[in-house]
Amino acid sequence: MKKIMQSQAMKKFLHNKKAMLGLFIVLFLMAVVVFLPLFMDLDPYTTDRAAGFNKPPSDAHILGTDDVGRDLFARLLYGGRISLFVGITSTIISVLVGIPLGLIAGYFRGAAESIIMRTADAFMSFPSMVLILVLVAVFGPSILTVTVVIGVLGWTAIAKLIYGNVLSIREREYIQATKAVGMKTMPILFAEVLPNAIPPVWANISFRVAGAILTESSLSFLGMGVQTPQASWGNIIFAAQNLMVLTARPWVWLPPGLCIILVVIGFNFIGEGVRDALDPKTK
Amino acid sequence: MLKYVFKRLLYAVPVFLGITFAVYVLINLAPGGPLSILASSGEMSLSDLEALKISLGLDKPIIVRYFMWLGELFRGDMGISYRTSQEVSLMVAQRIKPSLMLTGVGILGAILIGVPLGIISAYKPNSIWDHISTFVAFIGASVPNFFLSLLLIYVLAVKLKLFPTSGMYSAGSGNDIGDLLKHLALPAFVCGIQPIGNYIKQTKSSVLEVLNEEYIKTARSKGLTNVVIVLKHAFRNALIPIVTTISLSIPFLIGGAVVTEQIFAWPGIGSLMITAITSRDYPVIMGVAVLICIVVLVANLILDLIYAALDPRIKFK
Repeated sequence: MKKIMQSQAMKKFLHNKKAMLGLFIVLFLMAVVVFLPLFMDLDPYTTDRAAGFNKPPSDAHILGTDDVGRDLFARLLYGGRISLFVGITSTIISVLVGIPLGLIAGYFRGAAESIIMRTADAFMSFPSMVLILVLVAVFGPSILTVTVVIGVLGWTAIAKLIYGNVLSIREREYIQATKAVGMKTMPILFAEVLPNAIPPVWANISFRVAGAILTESSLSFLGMGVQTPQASWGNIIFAAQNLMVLTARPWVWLPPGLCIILVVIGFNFIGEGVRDALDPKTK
Repeated sequence: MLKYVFKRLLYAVPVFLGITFAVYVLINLAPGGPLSILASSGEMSLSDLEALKISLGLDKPIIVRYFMWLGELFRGDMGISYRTSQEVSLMVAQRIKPSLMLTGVGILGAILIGVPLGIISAYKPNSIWDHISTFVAFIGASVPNFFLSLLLIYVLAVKLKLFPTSGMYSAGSGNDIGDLLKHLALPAFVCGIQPIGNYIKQTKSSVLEVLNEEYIKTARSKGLTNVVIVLKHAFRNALIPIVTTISLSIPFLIGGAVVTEQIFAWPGIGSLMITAITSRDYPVIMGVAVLICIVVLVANLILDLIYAALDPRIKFK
């Protein structure tokens, strides 16, 4: 029965045009930023003295050069790698923190439940952007800090979802049955409860990746995220805080901005597709 | 009613203590405090440094220092800025009004436009309004607010010269209201567009849900017009999930405003925070965090009161 449900959900997902468009956008962008630098001779870090600084797009540099003469197209691709890496890795961290906490709160209830869920409420009522900025100020901005901080602070939504699912699963008869036949708590948790609690979270995971990419780009845009010489889509746009760059050189900041929008749309479409596919009410 | 308010206030206390304690500990862990600056300058001997440490209370355990700090906070003392040597409480106080104005106008605009759009989309699905709503929600969800700000500055302020690019008043304008509104328009729009999609979606789905209820069918069978049914009967009952969505969006709104203020050089809490972070001005960072915490808790309390007014049952729980 479970197998059929899953394959039905998969079919629904595969027939969802929006979800397929999202999947295409995300896979396409990933392929471009991962593989294109392998085939093209691109260098995002060194100054091209022959070309000069702040040059508009040309044959040698199809998106021009930045204020220290680095190739902007190369920075766009390498920046995309980092933006996607931070988005996906921080989401994995959120999942790894959120799932166990939600599982414990939902299954054991009692004191663990109130401590974990009240903490989640407190976290959710405070602007995470502000906490992230404080943490970055304390630990110093870098790819590692940004990834870990976004990841760790992202646990609340995932924990809440898992918690809600586990609450209803623990009362079901098959869980009661595993207890009655003397199954130990850990196997029940990991073999019976968890696999059934996770599917509804998949949609949220996709939304989280989009959100994490947005957060990283905002941080890097403020100069509190990925630091030069490393590139990320946000920190390429950082240059546009200068009104001169903003008005006279739109080729610097427009492409990374459009890339962020595209990838966010992609992950959001996938998330919506997954949600609709798992929802028995939609066809 | 009073008992209900009191209960909600009691709930806010641990949240306030928890968040401020967490931020306090973090900031005290950070390298580059005032003593390390003095120590590295070489102007003080180690014994003088020790004496200063004791006179500042820095030798005590962190939990004791936190409560000392809390005591000072209640006396209105937030310490002195490392960077400007001004009192933090004064620096923060100056920035409250612009921030409240920006986020207030943003959220009110989002509610006043988003909720009616949601109602119309529920009432007339697939109409032009429904499509506009979907598009607006889409922009809010997928365009990062700093990029939207840049686009607006580029097109509306620089190219078309309709709005100023940044700041709160033009020099020599004499702080008149028209000038202020012109400066406010773009950043407030950016603040408002972010949550508006959620308001539209939530309003649409909760109005749609209520429209399927039995009492709406009764109202229809009594021959009431659609407008009366939607506005008088459906909307009031659809409001509770809408208020929830609004209250959930407030932290995001404030977080987004930090970035928006920075881009538009709006003299609020957010831009103060960014300056404080870049210069590692920990007393100011702490002051801003406390203030934001208070604003969030007050906003939640107001929304709790709105809940109680909308649904009398809540008060008696």
